[in-house]
Amino acid sequence: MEIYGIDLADITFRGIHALMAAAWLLFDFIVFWLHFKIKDPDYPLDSRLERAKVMHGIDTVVAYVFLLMLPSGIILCYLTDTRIFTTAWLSWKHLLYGIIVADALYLLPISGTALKNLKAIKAGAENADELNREIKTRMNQAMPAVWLIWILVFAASLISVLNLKAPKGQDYIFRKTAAQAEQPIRPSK
Amino acid sequence: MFLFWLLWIVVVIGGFYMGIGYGLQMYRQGFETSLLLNTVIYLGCAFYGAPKFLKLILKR
Repeated sequence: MEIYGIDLADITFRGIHALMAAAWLLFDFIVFWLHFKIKDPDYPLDSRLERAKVMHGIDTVVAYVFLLMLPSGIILCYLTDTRIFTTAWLSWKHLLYGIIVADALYLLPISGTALKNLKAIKAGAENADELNREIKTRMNQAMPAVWLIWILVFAASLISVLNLKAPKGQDYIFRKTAAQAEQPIRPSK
Repeated sequence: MFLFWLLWIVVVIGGFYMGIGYGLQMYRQGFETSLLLNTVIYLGCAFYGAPKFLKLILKR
C-alpha cells in the first residue's frame, strides 16, 4: 500500500525496527545507571525500592523489544528483498543476535532478585545483610552480560546502517551494487 | 505470564527456524564460519529452551 509514493509497510517496519534498537540501547543504559544505588545498602531503603520498581518496569519493556526484534527483522527481510540465510552481512548480524539470546538466557534467573529482596527487607526480613549481599553479588554478576548486550546491539545497529537500502528498488545506499553486496556466502576452501 | 510465553516461543521456535535454516544453508553451500556459528548458537538456545517451553505448555 502506497501513499504519496511511500510504501507504508516498508517504512513502518523499518521505523519500528530502528526505534526498537534505539530504545533498547537507551533503556539498557538507564538500567545500568539505576543499579548503582539499588545495590548500595547505605542508600535509603525506600529510594532503593522505588528505583528497583522502575528498573523492573524498564527491564520488562526491554524484554519485549528484545523478543520482538527477531520477528520484526524477519518481516523486514521479506519487505526489503533481503535473503535471510544467504546474505553475508545479515548472517553476522544474526550471530550477534544469537549471542544476545544466549546472554538473555543467562540473565533470566538473575532478573527480579533485587526487587524481591528489597521487598523482603522492607517487610522486615531478619536476614537483611544476607539479602543485601545477594543483591550486590547478583547485580555485579549481571552487569558484564548487560554491557555485552549493549555492545552487541550497538554493533548490530552499525552493521544495519552500513547495509541500509533505499526503499525504491531496494538498492544499498552505502554499498556499490546490490549484486556485489548480496553475493551468496562462499564456502571456505 | 504472557512475557514468558513470548520468551520461550521466540527462543524455541525462532531458534529452530534460524538454526535449521543456517544448518541447511551450510549443507547446501558447504562450510562457512558464520553459518556454523549461527547453527550452533540458535540450535543450542532452542534445545536449551525446549524442555522449559514444553513444561509451560503441559502446565497450562
